[in-house]
Amino acid sequence: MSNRPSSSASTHRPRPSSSTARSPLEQLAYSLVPSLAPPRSHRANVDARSGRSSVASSRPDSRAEVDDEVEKERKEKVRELMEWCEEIMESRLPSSAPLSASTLPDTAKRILLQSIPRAASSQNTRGESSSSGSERAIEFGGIWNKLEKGRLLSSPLPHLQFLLSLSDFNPNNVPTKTPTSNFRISQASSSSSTRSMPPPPVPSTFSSSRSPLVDTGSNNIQSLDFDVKGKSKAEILISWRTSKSQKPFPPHLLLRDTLYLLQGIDGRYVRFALRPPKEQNPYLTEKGRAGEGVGFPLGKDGSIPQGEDEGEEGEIVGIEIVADQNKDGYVSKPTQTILMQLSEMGMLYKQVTDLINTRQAGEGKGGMTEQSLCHFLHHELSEYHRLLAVLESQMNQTSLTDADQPAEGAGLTLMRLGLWTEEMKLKLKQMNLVVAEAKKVHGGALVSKIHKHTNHGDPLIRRFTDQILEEVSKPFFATLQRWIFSGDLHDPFNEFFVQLNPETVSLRDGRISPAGDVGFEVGIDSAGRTDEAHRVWEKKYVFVKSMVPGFVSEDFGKKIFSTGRSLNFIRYSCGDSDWIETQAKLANAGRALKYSDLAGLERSIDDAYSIASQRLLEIFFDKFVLLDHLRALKLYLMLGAGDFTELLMEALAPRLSKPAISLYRHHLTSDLESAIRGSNAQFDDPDILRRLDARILEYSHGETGWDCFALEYKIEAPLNAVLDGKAMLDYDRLFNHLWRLKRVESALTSGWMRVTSGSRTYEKIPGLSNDWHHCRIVQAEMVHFLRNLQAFYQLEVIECSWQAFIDFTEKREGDLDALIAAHREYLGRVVRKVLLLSSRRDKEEILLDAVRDALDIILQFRDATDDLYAWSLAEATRLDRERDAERGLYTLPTTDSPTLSSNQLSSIRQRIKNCSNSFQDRLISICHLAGSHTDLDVRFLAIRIAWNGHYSLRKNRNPTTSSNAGDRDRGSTRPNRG
Amino acid sequence: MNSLHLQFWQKLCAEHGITPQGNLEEWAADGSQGDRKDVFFYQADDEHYIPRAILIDLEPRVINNILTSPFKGLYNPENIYVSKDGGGAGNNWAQGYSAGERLYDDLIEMIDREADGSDSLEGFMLLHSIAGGTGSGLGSYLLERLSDRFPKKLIQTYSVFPESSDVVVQPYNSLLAMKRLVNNADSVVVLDNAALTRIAADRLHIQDPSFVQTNQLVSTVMAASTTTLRYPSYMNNDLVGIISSLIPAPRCHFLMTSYTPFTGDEIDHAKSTRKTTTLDVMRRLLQPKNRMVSTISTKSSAYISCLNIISGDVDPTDVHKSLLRIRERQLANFIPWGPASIQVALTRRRGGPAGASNRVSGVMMANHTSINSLFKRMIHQYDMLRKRNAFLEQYKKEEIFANGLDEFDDARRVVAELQEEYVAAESPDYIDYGGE
Repeated sequence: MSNRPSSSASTHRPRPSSSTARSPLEQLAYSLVPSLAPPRSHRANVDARSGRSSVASSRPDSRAEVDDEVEKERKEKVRELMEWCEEIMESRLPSSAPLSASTLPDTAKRILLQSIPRAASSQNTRGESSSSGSERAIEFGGIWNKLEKGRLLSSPLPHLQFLLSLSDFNPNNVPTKTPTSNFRISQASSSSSTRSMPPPPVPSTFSSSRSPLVDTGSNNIQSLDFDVKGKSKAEILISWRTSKSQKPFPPHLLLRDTLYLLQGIDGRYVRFALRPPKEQNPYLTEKGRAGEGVGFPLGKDGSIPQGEDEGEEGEIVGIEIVADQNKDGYVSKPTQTILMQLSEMGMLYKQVTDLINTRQAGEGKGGMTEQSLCHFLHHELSEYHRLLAVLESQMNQTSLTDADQPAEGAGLTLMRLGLWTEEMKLKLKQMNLVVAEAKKVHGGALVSKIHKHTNHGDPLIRRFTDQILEEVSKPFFATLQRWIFSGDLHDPFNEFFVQLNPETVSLRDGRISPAGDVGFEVGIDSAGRTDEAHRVWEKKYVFVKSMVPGFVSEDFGKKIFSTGRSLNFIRYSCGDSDWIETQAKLANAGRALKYSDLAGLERSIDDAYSIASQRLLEIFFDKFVLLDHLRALKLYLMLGAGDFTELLMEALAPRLSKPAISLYRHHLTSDLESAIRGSNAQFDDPDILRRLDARILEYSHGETGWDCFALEYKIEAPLNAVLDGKAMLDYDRLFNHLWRLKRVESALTSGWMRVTSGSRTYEKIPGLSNDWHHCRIVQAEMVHFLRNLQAFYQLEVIECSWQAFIDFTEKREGDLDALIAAHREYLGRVVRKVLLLSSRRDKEEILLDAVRDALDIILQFRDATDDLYAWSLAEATRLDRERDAERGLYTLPTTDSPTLSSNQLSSIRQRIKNCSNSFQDRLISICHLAGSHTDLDVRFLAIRIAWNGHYSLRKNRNPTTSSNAGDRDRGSTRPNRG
Repeated sequence: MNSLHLQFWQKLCAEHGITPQGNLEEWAADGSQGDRKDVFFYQADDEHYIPRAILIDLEPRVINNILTSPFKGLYNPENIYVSKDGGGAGNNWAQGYSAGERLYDDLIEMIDREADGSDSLEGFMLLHSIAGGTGSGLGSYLLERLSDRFPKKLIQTYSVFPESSDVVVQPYNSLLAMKRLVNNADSVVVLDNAALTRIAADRLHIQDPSFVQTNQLVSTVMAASTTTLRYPSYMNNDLVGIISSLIPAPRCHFLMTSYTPFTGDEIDHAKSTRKTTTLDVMRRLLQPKNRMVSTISTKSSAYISCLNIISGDVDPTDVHKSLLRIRERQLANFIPWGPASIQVALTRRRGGPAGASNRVSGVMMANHTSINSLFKRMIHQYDMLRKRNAFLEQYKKEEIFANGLDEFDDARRVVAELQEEYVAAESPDYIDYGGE
């Protein structure tokens, strides 16, 4: 205040007062702002109304002064005020509300009617002011009529509007602040500052001009520059400039240039500033900012860009004013700010158009998403063009009227331009963001980038982003629709999150070697061939996580992936395209997928997913009877069909005992055939039986048929999607082990027939009963071990796993992947437990090896007992002969001397003893290993084998020395004495 | 014992869906039952199923009953043999044995024919009682002949042991038959009339059970213990597989059985028991009161081996849990000289038409040392009778005793040895049993 120039009053004095008596305008003012009317305590009112009056603050004791002096002063003030009013009225007051001649008086009346006698109660006013609202309204009506009819004012409406906004009764006005804020608008619009003065307070946000200004600084000392004498800084500045023969730059020229700028074109006087080379970067120093006209920063939110965000050279960073300010006039700082702010739009526009142009010129990667983005941008930009056209016509109107008398109601000013383009600016900003993103990513990733903006706090931007997405996601949804309803991937630009696996291209030339009786190559052949369906399912498409649009969660994306994959698989691998066609038709008849209907999208996808998955499972279960095949694998390859296995074993045993080289496949197949005929397998589906085949594995020299026989189950596409090559290998391993077990079992039962059941034939031979008894005890041990192992496999492993698998399949949930996974889990579980695999890598097969050892020992033991048996028979014959000879019957001369045969006997005994001991050793270690196995079920095997503590009891002793010392620790270790 | 026979075949027919006329029931015709009808039946030229069975009796009454029953059309008439004189064996082992010798040609012809008709004959099953004359005498004779003629085939018998009061000379008959059971059979399933009556009373609440009801008990057990043969699965599909695991030593082949639960499905007028779980079944099978043999267990009595055949809708995981529970609670006592455990075989028997209840039931076949008490009692009863030389005249009439009563002494020795071996098997020293 102190630096207010003294000349401020003189700028007002020359103006004639509008009337000496109370002019209608004055009356109108009084009726709407009763606190201005001449009261007893007028001064205080004026002080209160004008808020920032220096008089009020400098002379608080004014009430005490003489009345006429006061009255004189009041009149002076009112007169000044009226002048002010007129001045303000003449200035270009930007207004969002159009001036409507018909509604404004009514509004004024309504406000008056509704007003409560606030002024009366809260302030010290005249008696009239406490009159009711209706009286005031009538009074206002009279004055208004006078004004309108009397043509005293050229345009009363702006006056009315102004006064109305000042009015005490206007509910929008907080009584003590309202005038201040309105004054500040006028100040902001009319004043200009010099460099010598501190810059005027910049409106806090540009957008705030859309709504009535809220006071930002009533207690800001800088803003208290209103003087009742009417000298604003702007006026002072203007006058100062005028005095220096500087005139303001013609606003219409600026306007025209601005419109150019808005179209991204350099204007005549104002043009875009390009980013200067780095070393000259003006933002780096405060000094740079002072350089006139150069480089106002244009951050996205008006802030100075951060260092790392600096773009490349040549990027538009602001505007520069190239007009010769001395010649054409000066461009004030606030105007420059406005220009700068407006020009941002031009820059944005330029960038957006750049993208569209480059994309349409086919320079970018292209893609449907981008194309539709461009389409949308185009659409939005045409909106923008339309707006510019309207603005331009406005401007032309403005320039048609006299430049010296700027339009009062209509017309274009820079401020209005800023206001009217506000919304479009936001949109442009948003578009620019999107465009910037579109440069980096494409397709689904772009969609998800854009989708992120839907979380923006500004509802306008949110809505706008939704519009963008609606358009941009169209190609995505088109692809999606095709994918989930017909299983076709139509995605020429790799924008979808499902993409063809580049590896699978090589699948096309998959080798298919002729099937047939090709002996040893069968294995290799089938292994190479069977993979295909599995690989088609597994590898044909890949899921690209980065391309999943943001509004689709990853789980959901997987669902979509699986849906299309299922359909694709149904169509191409299961040969069921008819169903797909009808399904696609049905689905297309329904709703179209779009962004705005995300719930519907989820529903559709859920539906499509369950339909496709169900259908695929149905095809597998019903058309390709997958379960029957799995059951067959369990029956034949896991030897679940005991009768079949036994017949096969019986038929094959003599052949397999021979060296592998003497095996012929046709013998094996014919044995297989007869085993099928003779067992319940004959009732099985011929399609299943035809897949069963006997195979001879590769063998090395010296191996017997047992080592290289395998039963094969042929699987072809599409079943091999589930039963892939690896799975079949697992089945082979299982068969190998179980078959070996079965072989030992059959050896043992035949041994039992000989050793136990057949004991009648040799029990007469003296001196052997002890041997045989030992044999039988050891054999019983072996039988026990074997049977427990088998029962464990059958019950705990195969049946339990199968049960779990069947439970899964009965639910028919999930998709083919889930089924494959379930089968894998089933098979993996069986393999792990049947082969007793340990989880420790280095010792994976340690237990299996021990078991195999034990099985081998059983076979050796069997050989030894066979020899003992043969020896017994020979001995029996010899004894018979001796007896016959004693009785004088003629016999053939004995070839074996008793001593030789007793040598044989002792070696046989030794062998049996060795076998027994090593078997028992082995079992102890098996129990030990299984007992500490990582798998609980395998531990249970140890419990089964050592059920009555037999092995844990032995473990504590030296197992090789005594097998008959068990009685020593009978009491302590014998279990189950209850 | 032919009435038992009838019950057994009735049961098999019901399970396999074969009508009394030998036709297939509708539900069994599609071959989806997973059963092997050809184990106990064969198909005639007209596709009818005919039991692989020979019915022999020395008196016509029971067989006539069969021939008037609805099942008369089931059997091959050539396989029904009734002694022409029709006098029976007079509750005399010797008479039955002699009758066997007389009828040898006829019988062996029938047996050979049936054996030839079997694709892979594994063995014979003999159903008989050892109290009276025919079952014990003729049965003994047949056992001897069968083991001579088919030395590589298994012979399993289901032998009903008498109650003490049945027949006066029953101790003689039993002992003499026992000798053949020891020497000529591979496996003997011991069934005890006393135990059957007790089970009928205790378990089924039938006082004074009729022959039909006790026979139903037995036939149930027989059918159940052959399920694994008839419904093949991973293991226990052949007789030798089952027996070899149960019988470690040639003489100790006397098996006892339990069955639970008996319900109205198996036995007429039986009260149905509550729903049973796998654990219930396995636990009850181990209870002595459910055994079909009355034996006296001592503290050292032990299972030599034990096989549970569980059928019905069993969750395989339940078996695992039940086994652990049984082991925890030490419900069974096992021999000290070798590994022994409860083996469990599951059969998913789908007997009966679709939708029929397939509740859990189980049969146990066990080799238990307490069976020696049965032999001990048998010897004791024999000794009591023999001391007085009572009722020997009838025996001396027959050829086998013409040269004295050595046969009695030999039989007693064999049974005593058997009893001793069972006792010995309770001790860890059994490993060296019979050493010279």
